[in-house]
Amino acid sequence: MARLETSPESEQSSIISTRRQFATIAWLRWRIFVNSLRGKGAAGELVVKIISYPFLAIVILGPSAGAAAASYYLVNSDEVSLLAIPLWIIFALWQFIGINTSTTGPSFDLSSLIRFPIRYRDYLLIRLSFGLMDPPTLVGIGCLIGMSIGIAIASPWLLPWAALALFAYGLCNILFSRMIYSWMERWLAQRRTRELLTGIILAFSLGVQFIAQYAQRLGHHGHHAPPNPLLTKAMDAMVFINWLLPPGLTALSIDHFHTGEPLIALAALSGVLFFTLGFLLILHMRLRAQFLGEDLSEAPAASQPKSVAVKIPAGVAVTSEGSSLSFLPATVAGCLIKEIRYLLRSGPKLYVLIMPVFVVFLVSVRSSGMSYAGVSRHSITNMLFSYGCAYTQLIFVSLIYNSLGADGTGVQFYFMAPVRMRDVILAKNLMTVCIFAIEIILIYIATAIITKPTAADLTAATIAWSLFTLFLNMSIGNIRSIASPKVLDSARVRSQNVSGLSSLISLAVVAAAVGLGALMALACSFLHTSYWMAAAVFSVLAILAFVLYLLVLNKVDGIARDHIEELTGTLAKV
Amino acid sequence: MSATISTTGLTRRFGDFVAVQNVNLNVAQGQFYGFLGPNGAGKSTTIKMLTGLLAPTSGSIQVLGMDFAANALEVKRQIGVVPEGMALFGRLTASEYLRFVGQMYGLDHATTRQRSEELLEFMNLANETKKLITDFSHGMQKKLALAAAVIHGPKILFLDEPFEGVDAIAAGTLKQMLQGMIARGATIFLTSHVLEIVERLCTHVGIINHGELITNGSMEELRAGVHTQADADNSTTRLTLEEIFIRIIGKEDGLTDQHSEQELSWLG
Repeated sequence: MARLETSPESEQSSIISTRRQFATIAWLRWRIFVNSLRGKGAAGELVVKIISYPFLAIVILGPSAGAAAASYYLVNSDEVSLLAIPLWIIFALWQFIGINTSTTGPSFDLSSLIRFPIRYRDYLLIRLSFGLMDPPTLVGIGCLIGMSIGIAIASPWLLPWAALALFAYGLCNILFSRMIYSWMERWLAQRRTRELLTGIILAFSLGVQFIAQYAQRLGHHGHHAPPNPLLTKAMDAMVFINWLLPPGLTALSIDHFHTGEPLIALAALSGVLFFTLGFLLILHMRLRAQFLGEDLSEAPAASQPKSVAVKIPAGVAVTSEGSSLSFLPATVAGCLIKEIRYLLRSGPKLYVLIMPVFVVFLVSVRSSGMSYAGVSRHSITNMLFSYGCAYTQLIFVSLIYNSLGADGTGVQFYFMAPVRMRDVILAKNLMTVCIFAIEIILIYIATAIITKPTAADLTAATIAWSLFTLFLNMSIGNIRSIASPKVLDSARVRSQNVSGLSSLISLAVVAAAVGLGALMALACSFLHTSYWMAAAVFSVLAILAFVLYLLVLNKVDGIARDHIEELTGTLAKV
Repeated sequence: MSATISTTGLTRRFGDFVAVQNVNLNVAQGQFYGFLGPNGAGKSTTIKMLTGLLAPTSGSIQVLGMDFAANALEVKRQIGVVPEGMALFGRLTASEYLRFVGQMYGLDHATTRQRSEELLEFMNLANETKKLITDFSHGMQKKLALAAAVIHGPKILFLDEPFEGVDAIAAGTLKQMLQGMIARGATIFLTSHVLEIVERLCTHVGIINHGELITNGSMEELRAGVHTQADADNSTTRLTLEEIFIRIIGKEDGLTDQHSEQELSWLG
């Protein structure tokens, strides 16, 4: 008789240590990573991972070197308080990269840990510790280390205090980004708060734009005229507010230590720590609710079931009519309606899609008074529409290269129902094209309001280029969506798992298309011709890309049949 | 009776592992067919192949007299499926999902709407109009998956564990619905681990183990197949499906009573 014996007392009395739980979770994540390298296509993914590390290093080292140089310069020229500028840039990078990056490794939802006998304190620590190696944090920490090095070279004795202040600032940023994303997910999960947040973001972007335009107008009274008092007051107020926020406080702390005022330096550092604790407290409220098992469902409580009359449907009706999209085949219309519903219920996805319009506003604000790296303000405002469209392509690749990811287990339905995968993919592509068209129109209107309507030749060239890139991306993206799908959680703001190979291919396609666009723009400039030549060239390319797209679309059913196991195995695992 | 579902030499390999080997099935029209087997025996793999979710390595599948591989779309129009993962779209409501499914099967708008309402009423889901499917309980999702599988009035229904996680009242309603379909001439192919339900509902049973179909026939044929001298001596004995199943699988796997004597002494 087989016996499996152990001592129940020893098991029950032992305390599950935090260290052990951390080690277990680290092991779990490692195993998930290792196991993700098994199966079809894993070798390709591994190669992409290896290739991507030098790029990641460049992304981290580039800004870090910049931060080091800027800090060295500012401290060396006794402008220590201006360290607030690189600190604000680091803050923006930290938060902005997070929205625009995805993890290429397998993701593990840490909130699922609450089903285990884990203490809240440990849960909080785990939530804070894991994810420190994600790209935005690495870039942020890299920049702060760079600043420390720059400060150390310029003024070695300042290093200990600067390192302490920058450490506090880093901690503050980590907690701020965690706090923002966890609360955003909470708000985006429900319609009412989602709409409120949309309103706030739109009001903010329009407000910033309005203030910038107003400030620009006030400032344009002539270079030799005395500065407008209202503008001066507004600038003073902004500078004052800056000193009350973490980047300003950190710079202030280092500056006052530098000038031999340790008490003020300490007070400023306390301010940073005060913010850090505040963010921790707000994050704690969110995580505590998660830990206690909150329900983010939008639905009302289940009501009592009614008594029912039993009628079983019979017979197959094969006609299709009455659909609101009756000009489309029924299956395509059905899929399209489903896609629209999915999009409208995915707050994070919607926000990512409106980002290009938002970015146009931001770039216009930034370009209102300066030039970037040799690119004149005139050139930026002229090409704003083109830049917006190029950025849109970058945003859309995640939608195009993993179009089945959000369907999850539902993907099985496409193989069970009398539906051609061609129709499903076509519906998804139609929605992409529709959103893209809306986005381009919005960018055009925004550009026209902010600067001036883009010239007809440049508009035509940009639209032709956009269509060329979009069809090229959809041709390749449709194949990648079927061959290498990854589950997408529509409710999450960031760190979605994507195929590394798909990411690399999509980036290469967009980079090549942007390069081609730049080359054409240069050629037009060199030949002193209008952009109509570029419009003609890109129109031909767009037609060719469209033909390629149709060829791929007609082969989609065969590709899906060949990859049915990857699709159902990855997306519909129960 | 003509075979509604028939397979010839149906085989599926995953690398070196043979999940289903040379399965020859024949399910006649109007049969309520229970497909049984222990965990990992090959039930779900077989049902996936029969419904087009998985391509066979070799062998052929005929459904309603049509070769599945050659007439996949036409076959799919005539069948309904509740697969293992239920194939639901979590971010739709129940009525939106049924509307979507109806449209995919080519039903007109009015029919889809009418049938959706009737099915949601029937499944006691009519009051959950605003709830997203992802917020449904497992049992509610099962009921919705079944509603979606029958909305187009299929001639054959494939059900992978349809009663798992469904409450007793709902299970009774589902059984009533399935029996109604059988009475109207539909064929149902069902896998379940709840042998009492299979015994009560199914007219015919097939048992698969280690990927091979080891027995196939009506309940009486199965009983006769495992009848022993001891059973013959006791004329009052009527073997239950559970007993038949254990005898067949136990014999196959060489399991004896000593297995059940294993004791996990540390369990309270």
